[in-house]
Amino acid sequence: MTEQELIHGCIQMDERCQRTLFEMYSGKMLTVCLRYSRDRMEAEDWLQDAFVKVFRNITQFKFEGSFEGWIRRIVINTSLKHLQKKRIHFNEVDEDKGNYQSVDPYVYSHMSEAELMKLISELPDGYKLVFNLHVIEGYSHEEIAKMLGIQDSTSRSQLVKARRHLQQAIINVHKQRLAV
Amino acid sequence: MNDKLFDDFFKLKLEQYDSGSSMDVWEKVRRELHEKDNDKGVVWWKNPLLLLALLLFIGGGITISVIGSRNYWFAKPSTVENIAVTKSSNKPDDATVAPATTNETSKENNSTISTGKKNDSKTTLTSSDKTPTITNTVSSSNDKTAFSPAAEVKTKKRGLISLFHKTKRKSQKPVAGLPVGDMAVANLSPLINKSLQLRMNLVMK
Repeated sequence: MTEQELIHGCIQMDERCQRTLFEMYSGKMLTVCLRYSRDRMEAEDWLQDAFVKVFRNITQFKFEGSFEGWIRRIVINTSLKHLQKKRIHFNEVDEDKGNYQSVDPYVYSHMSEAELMKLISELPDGYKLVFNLHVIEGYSHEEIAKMLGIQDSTSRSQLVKARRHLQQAIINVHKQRLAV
Repeated sequence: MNDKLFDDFFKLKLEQYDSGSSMDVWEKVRRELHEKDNDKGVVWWKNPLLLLALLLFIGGGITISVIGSRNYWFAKPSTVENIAVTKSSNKPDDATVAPATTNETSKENNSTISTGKKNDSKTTLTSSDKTPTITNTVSSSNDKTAFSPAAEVKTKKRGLISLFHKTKRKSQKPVAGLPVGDMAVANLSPLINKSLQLRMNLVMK
């Protein structure tokens, strides 16, 4: 069954097509939710909401562009909606600028996806949000500012701090590995 | 590693990363989608069973109300309970007759009527609790007939009429073949009925 046939099946509320489509994209979309949420339980709740929206609004998909991209946008918007209920503060966390070290590319190559996910989930909410939206999803600072109702400059500064925070975390992980 | 490379590294690693979703989530999605759709389908005018049930309910209600009203209208007329008719002269001790007929359906109506048959008699109609108390004095032919002035007559007339209407409203058992207005009177014992009519006639005069 092609993706187009599956979509047509979903438009007709065919349960088998819906299930196949869910199995195709739910893993990737759960990753998206996990990057924004605090834990897996919360991420699964958001994923459920997002897929209900996908199936209810599937008639709005015009078969232009990628279907995965369309689902991803719904998942991101759903996650942001849930996050906005929490009223995230974009406070700047004090970083220890003096101890900042550049990271050897070798260290990165040994980092698994699960480890990177864990590091992202440990970021402060504001950093995490801007980092995910800009670096992974590819939104510009202007778009992020509009989406979150903040200044462009806030988005930029949050991104810089998020990068530093992550680099420091990667160094710490590397040090722990060497110690073991 | 510069910022660009750092960002690309994360993007490459995480953009297509599959965390593996559980089928519990699918079950929840499926339930939410299909159960809500089923709920939408259960609209009374779309569902013949619901429509039938609704018709049966309405029909049953009408039947019960019709049967109930027949029983109500063709029930035996009853006498008013706790009606005490007391004959009295000027002295209150002379009160002798106090027949009271009872009926279980008219327990709420507690009224007392005192009537005097002697020449110089004082007729008192007292209706306790819910009905007002009206006292009327009637003198017969042997004595001087002392009628009140016109205003007093008017007030008494008004009082009687209002009593009549209140009794009419409170009468519990209608009598077949009688207009609603007369039902209340018919429910009273014949003695009271007679007394009321007598007083009405006197006042009208």
